[in-house]
Amino acid sequence: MNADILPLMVVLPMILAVFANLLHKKTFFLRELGIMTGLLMLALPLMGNYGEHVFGGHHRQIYDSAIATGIEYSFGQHQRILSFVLGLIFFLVISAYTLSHKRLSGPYLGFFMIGVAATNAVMFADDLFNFYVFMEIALISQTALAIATGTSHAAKTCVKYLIAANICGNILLFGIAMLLSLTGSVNITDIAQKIATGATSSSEPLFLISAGFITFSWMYAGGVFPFHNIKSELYSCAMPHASALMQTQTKFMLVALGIIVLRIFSQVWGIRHMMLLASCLAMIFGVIMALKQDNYHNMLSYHAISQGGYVAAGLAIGTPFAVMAGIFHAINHVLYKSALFLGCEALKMRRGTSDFSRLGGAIHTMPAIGLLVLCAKLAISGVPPFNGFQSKLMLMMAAFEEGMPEISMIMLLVSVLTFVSMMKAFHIAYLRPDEEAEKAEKNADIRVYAAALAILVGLCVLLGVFPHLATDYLFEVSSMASGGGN
Amino acid sequence: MIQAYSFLTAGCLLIIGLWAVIYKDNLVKKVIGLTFITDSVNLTLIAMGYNEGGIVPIRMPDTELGVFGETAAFALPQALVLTNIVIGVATVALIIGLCIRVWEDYASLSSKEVWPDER
Repeated sequence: MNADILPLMVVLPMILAVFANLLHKKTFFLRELGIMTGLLMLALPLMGNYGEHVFGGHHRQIYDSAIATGIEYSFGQHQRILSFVLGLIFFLVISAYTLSHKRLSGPYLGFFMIGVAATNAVMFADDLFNFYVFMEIALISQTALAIATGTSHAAKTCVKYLIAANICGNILLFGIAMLLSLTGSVNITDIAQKIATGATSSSEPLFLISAGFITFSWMYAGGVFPFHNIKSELYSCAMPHASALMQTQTKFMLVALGIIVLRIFSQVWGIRHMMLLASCLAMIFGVIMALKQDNYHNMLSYHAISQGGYVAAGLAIGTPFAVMAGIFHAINHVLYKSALFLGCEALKMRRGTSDFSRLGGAIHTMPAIGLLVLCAKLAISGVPPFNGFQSKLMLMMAAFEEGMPEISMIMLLVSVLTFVSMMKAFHIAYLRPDEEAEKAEKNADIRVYAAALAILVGLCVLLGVFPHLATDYLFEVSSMASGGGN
Repeated sequence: MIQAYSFLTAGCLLIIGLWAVIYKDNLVKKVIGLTFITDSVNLTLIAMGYNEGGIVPIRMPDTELGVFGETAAFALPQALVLTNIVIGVATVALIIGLCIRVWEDYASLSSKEVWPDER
């Protein structure tokens, strides 16, 4: 019970977001504040001790439903690595935004901070209601980042996104209310223990309905089928650097809620089948839609959904190895996909568009970015020695071990299609000769993007060669999520 | 009985809300439907914590803990509802703000006109 630094990872960016708002248009101060917050979010996960933090001194009372529980955060090994990766992406995105734009918006920067605080809280929360509250805040911050582009397309997409978010949030809350009425608690550990020990029956109709509702919300929060279109449209509306952070938030919410579903409802028949179906459809529809796109940014947005399907499939298979592979793939994916989004923004800054019809020949004018983007594209396609290869191989092996070769085949097929799509995009944007586009290129400074890409691609290679650097942190949670402990 | 009526009312609110969100064409009517759904969840939570003939969950110095535990309404759902009202207001305010923007850009709040290719 010594994780005293834990609340800072949520509270600090929230407070700094208020300052960012007050410093609107004061570019110098906003730049300093943004980079300082990014560094803090990188350092705090490394400084925190493992353990639990209980707000207000209301310690968890197992089997004593007469005493209401307080808000509780837990900080284990997987939370440390996920929070660190989130902090890294936040730092790189904030650096890219603040160092490459001449005028900075305080509220826009503030919503980045609120988003990272909410995602941290979602990962740390050990009570369902706190999880729900911060999930809603994360979804609102994502919407705000998309609205900031100011286009009418973004406005109408965000209306649709928020309507769906409101319905799914309420469905999640219905599920939580049902669990509360059955167990007298909203604490995830308490509920999981009551189910495991039989103190609460897992065959109660209310429990089964709750399982369905919370799993449905998991599909929305994670952007898997049938919500793949809404999420990818939202990513497409935002600036590419914002898309990088938004897809990181989505992947980590997918993991966090997926772990909760597995801990509480793993005994419910059909839940994992439902999750597996949604994840396979997300993989397939995501990559097919990506192949159809004529805009580079939109294509990356659909790939984010497709790769989310891999993460969801790992969680849905549900064995410790599969869960570990799923979370490892989430980490890998946010690294290479953020690199791709930042590469897309560099291209957009130089060419003023991400339409394939107006791109071409970029390898001559930005060779370093081109090379790094190619590495990220190979990583997402599952080519060795990059990290995507390791996690995709683990996921396929996990599916085989569980007697699901068809899932492995789908993963392999989607990986091949991803490779085709990525190489097509690389050819069009970087290799295809287009002298007119090259001449019309703007002289934007993209050095910060090159540096961010170099860091991310370096990590992709590092985790590809030494996957245990990440997987060592994931054994505990994978065992817990697959029923090995609560 | 009060609890049963509350659950029934919550069920009606949920159905009306979902109907409005799915079938109503006007965006503002869809938003009103959303508020019905939120109210339905809040009512369900409040009804769950209801204790027939009970007292408010504020413990006075002269009340014994055991007596308080047996007679007080369950306070946790009330705390949840309070937070959910705030979240609901924030979300609805944001959607309404966006609806104003949609009105300015498209001169319409009809979902058929705003999303012509998706209906």
